[in-house]
Amino acid sequence: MAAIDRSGDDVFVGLELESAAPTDAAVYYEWLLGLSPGSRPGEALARVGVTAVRGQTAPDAPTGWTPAFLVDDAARAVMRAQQLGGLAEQDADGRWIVHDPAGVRCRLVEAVPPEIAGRHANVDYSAFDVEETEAFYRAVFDARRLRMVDDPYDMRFLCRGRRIAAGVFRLHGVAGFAVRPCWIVYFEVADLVMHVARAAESGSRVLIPPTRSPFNLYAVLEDPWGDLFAFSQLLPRPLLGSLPVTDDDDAPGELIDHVDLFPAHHGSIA
Amino acid sequence: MSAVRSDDVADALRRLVFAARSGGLTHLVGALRSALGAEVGLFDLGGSMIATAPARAIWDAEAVRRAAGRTGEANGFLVHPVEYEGEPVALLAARVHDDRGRLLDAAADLIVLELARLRAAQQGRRELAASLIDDVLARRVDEVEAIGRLRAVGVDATVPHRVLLGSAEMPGSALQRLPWGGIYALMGNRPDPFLRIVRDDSVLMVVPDDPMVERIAQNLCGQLAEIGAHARVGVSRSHVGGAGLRAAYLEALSALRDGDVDGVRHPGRLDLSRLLVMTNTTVPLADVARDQLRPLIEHDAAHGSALVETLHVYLEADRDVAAATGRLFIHRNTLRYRLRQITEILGADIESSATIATLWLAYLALADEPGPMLASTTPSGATPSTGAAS
Repeated sequence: MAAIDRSGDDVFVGLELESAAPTDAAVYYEWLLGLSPGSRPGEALARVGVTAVRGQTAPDAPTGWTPAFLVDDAARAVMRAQQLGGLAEQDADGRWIVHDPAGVRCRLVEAVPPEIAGRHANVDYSAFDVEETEAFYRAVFDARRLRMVDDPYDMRFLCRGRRIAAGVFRLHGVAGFAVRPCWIVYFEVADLVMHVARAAESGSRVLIPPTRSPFNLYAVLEDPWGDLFAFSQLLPRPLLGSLPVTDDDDAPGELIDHVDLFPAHHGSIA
Repeated sequence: MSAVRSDDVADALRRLVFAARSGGLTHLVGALRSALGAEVGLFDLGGSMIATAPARAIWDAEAVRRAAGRTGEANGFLVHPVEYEGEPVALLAARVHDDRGRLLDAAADLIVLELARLRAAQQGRRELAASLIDDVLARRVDEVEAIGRLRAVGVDATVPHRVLLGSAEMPGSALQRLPWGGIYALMGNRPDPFLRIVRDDSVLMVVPDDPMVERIAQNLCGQLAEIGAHARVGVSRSHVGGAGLRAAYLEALSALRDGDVDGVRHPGRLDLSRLLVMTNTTVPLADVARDQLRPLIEHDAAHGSALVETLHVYLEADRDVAAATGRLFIHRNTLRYRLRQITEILGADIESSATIATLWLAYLALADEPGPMLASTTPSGATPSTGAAS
């Protein structure tokens, strides 16, 4: 296959939700994100990068948000994942789903879904073992790594071209609890506190209350059907751009030197 | 746990107090984490995290809630209830096996102080809103003023909204235990996402009429069911304006009170007469109603009769003579005599559908008015009405 120049493309390109109550969940997220409903439940979610909201494939099948990442060659990416202990399967439409060694899944696609007009979300991986997780996804995404300096959660960004594919951080203090590594989907909003308050009044549970990080205000919640999601309110551009990071060679720099933080089609939800 | 020597404990306590005074709940929980050397989380009773240290620790809220009733360590952590005015309002959890320095006790006391401060701020806003709702429901403010003042408390009454009214069998103080979704807004110095007040031992919410009304009602009902028996939430239909808020309140109240089924409830068949009275803002219905009934009012005043009440009871009883006489404690012949008097005085056939509708509306309009039902407001010298069904 001829090499494709992906240097200007996003890597994280879409989201899917599997829920115990897909129609209710679609309506809920549209309301939560302030999206005017379309002609069917979930249609409006395409505006924030959601390509599908579907029910469980089996009563005990896992639910939750699954990110989709753009790769040059899905078959080769799958092979790299398998070499590093991951598993892969194809759905009924022939699309690849990769399960990493911790059992966390993502989708791999070779083209951006045409219905995605913009994006208002980001993803982080909440990991027990940051090094292993970084190594696995760097190989699968064919990405490089930027590491935040002196971050208490050992936050890293997996990047390709001038785009951030995902963050990876160390999940803290979970021994003895039924918490597993997972992808956390952050919907970018303009007023995080009010979004959290509305979510709490409408049946979501707050897992991490509004918290300031070096680059955003964020909160992690569980929707009424038990699926994890998050809100993020990015800090102003000057603060974000000056974040100190080191690259693959441990050379110091600022985040803005390595990536475009605000591509034109990205933004926050009012 | 390192803080077991008295000096260490005293130092830890000083740090806790300083954190509470300087940075609120988040700093206080952070300081407690430093003192204990372990993860700390402060939860509301619904299991939502209010503050946590470290920030990116995800807890199993159900495990914390299950451990709340136990004494001592369970699953590797201690859970300490935080009580406000004798009612538990939050759970303080720490991943420690014991609390030899009793730092959790001290932190819980400081948390109560901070929660009390936040609640006082919220209570001020909610009392202001409750006073406004009282004014709107009692028609002490006109429509324009109602819409303006509702906007000031976060309700855009120019767009459709609904009223939720929730209650459960419990002591009034138990309402303190309701999970406190608005705390996130309060800690961020923002208004409540939805207007929410306590009125007559019920929780009243005003929410926009959108697809989440039912979910918010279910959520409120679930919260009430956790603290009392027979939890119910009445949900009004959609209305606009201050007058619409009145209609919505009465619909929600009717839905709450009618029948014996618990859970989320909706009002029955739409009563157009009642809706017209409750939402009317253009016609002085009460004045018109008094004019319609004035011949009877004046007759009662002149002769000490009870024709106004008789007609009201007769209509309320759906013109069932036996039912009306039972309620009035009079003989059926007395009722028939009074009805003939009423017909003559009003100059109208009180069995005609049009007359019945007019008179029924008149009584509803007067019942909706604050103050004595039939006090005259007509200026001296005004021309009395010539009949009810003219």
